[in-house]
Amino acid sequence: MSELLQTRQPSLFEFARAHVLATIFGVVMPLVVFAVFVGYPIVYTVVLSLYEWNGMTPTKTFVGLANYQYMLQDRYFYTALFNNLKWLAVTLVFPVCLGLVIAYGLRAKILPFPTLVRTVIFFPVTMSLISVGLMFLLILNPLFGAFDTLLQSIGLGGLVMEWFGDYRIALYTLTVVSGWAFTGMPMIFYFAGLGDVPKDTFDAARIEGAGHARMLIQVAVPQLRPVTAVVVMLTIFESLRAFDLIAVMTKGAPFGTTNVLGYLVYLESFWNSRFGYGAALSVAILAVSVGLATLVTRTLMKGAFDV
Amino acid sequence: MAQVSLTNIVKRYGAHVVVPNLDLEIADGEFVVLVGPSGCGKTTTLQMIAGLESISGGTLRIGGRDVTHLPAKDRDIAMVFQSYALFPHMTVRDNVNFGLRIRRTPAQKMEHIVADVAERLQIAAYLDRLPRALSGGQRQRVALARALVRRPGVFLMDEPLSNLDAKLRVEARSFLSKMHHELGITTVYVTHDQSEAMTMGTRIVVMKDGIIQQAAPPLEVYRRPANKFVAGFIGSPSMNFLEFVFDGAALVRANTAVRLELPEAQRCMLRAAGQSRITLGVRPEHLILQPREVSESGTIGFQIDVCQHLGNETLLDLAEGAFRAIARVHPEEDASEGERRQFRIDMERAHFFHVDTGENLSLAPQRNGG
Ligand SMILES: Nc1ncnc2c1ncn2[C@@H]1O[C@H](COP(=O)(O)OP(=O)(O)OP(=O)(O)O)[C@@H](O)[C@H]1O
Ligand SMILES: [Mg+2]
Repeated sequence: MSELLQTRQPSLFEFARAHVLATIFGVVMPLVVFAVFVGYPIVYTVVLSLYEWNGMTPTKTFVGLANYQYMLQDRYFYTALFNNLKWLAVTLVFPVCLGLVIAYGLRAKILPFPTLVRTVIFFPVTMSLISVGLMFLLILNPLFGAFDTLLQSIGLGGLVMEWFGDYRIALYTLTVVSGWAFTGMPMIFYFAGLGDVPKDTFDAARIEGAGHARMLIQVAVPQLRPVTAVVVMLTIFESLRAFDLIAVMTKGAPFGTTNVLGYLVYLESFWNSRFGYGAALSVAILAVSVGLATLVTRTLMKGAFDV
Repeated sequence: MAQVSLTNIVKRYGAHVVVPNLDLEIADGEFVVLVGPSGCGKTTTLQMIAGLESISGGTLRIGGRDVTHLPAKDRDIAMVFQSYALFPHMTVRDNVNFGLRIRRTPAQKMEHIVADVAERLQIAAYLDRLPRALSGGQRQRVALARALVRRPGVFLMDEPLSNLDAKLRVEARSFLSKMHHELGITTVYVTHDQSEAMTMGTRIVVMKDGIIQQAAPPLEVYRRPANKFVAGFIGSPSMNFLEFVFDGAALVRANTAVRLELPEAQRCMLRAAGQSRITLGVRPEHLILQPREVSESGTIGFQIDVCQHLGNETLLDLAEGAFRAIARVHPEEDASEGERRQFRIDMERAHFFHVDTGENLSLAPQRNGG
């Protein structure tokens, strides 16, 4: 019994009493900061979503779940939600896979000028999406944009499209631009992750006759599962938060077909003065995030760390 | 089945030369062991043969084909790694037949081969497990199985046993030797453990700083080491080195009464070598403890510092001034720590090395004179 007592972990309070400074600076202060800047806004948003408020008058009207009822019948809500999901799908395929391939190419030393490649791919990650958006507005401009001119000059003029004008294309134009700016993120994560995959397993695969494609898919990817879980998580949040590019490039046009939830929140709150409904949409974003994140932790992360 | 031939092989990392110029002919079916201290270039050499490291200069032939610049997969080799390098996410079966799957072996044939090898290596019961559910010894055998299923021309192994505990290592050692006898696959085996080298190799290649010091069968390397480095590296405990002056007839030490007479043959050899200062190399078993009453002439006295009783033999740590030595004596020999005793050196089996170059004078081409 006495032995048991000795080997018992100290309780949280015993620990706190023994390490007062560490507890204040390491535990209490971060919790306070978190509560003020993250916890409070979330709670306030949830509360606000139960009211009708124009954002200016001091009085708010309690409406219960009316905002949510309205949301479930709102055509724009569904368009925006599906756009977010499309955005996520494209981001998972294009920048994430591309980042993985580039990271592999860098590690396997098959890409020329590795430092240059790494810098060029990562650079846009550090740029604000506002400037990325403005830049691509110029590049893709139908009258004088460099991209169309480039396509025409290499004989691919037939591929020129109304990048923003065509409602079937506009959203994908946006996701590709966002992907261009995002590729560096998965690349850096996978590059670091590949450094932790034992080199011997690649050597063994090579001796057994595996080419790069097989090494990437059958040797690297399965051993990168923890990294993939993190990258997918980041991609989910990135895709659900999409706002800046739409605000700068299309403003939801044409006909609201490029609306995403984040932009809808802004439209409803600040243009239609329906802060309560905006808050309800925000809660919807939160719910979708939590749902997808749970899915990722249940599937990708499960057992990923016990190799 | 294949012979391996390395001709003027060079390995450079930038300006840093790791292997300056390596020549080695490995016959079909040989079991060659590369040994040497850490950092001497064993792994580098093996990886060049494997195709995992590029070759900076020279020619590599496997089975008569020039493979210097061929990718690893076209060299007809298989490799076993120190870490085993199993794919952690694949079952043992998928690990073992990985190479066969790449070569699109028909399923039935593959099943057959895997079953056969698994039987031989006693891993048949674990085929559907993941590597992390295996013990070290089992993982090692899976790595071996993966290398074996393709029936490569050459087996390359880089310290495959060094992650096993001592008992398993001895088992695996004889296991590997037996397998080599049965299959006769040319094997290049890297280790820094000289007892592995002695027991497994049909030929030992002792390396230092990327240069081959000696390449010969184990007993030859033990009995006729090419130089002081090889003599000291092979054998455990290692050979004792004692510096003496050769006065034309006997070995003496300045300011002492020690005088060791030499047999006629060795006297001639030393005279021919024309060296007055020499390093005498004596293996621990050739330092023979004398009975207490024997007179001091022709013997050398040592203080016994420590007696290590190993059961089947006893090792004596000896000291005499700056000299340190180890003697191997019969376990029933009556010797106690702190005692000063006389030892006779079995001169017929002693070695004489050049003080500066370390070359074995008895193997050196005889010079005229003296
Ligand atoms: N990529 C590299 N760049 C520069 N030098 C290297 C590189 N790889 C190995 N070396 C050098 O080459 C030398 C030989 O290395 P190697 O791995 O072949 O040694 P080893 O004989 O296998 O040693 P050990 O017994 O410790 O495994 C070492 O001095 C090492 O520092
Ligand atoms: Mg090594």
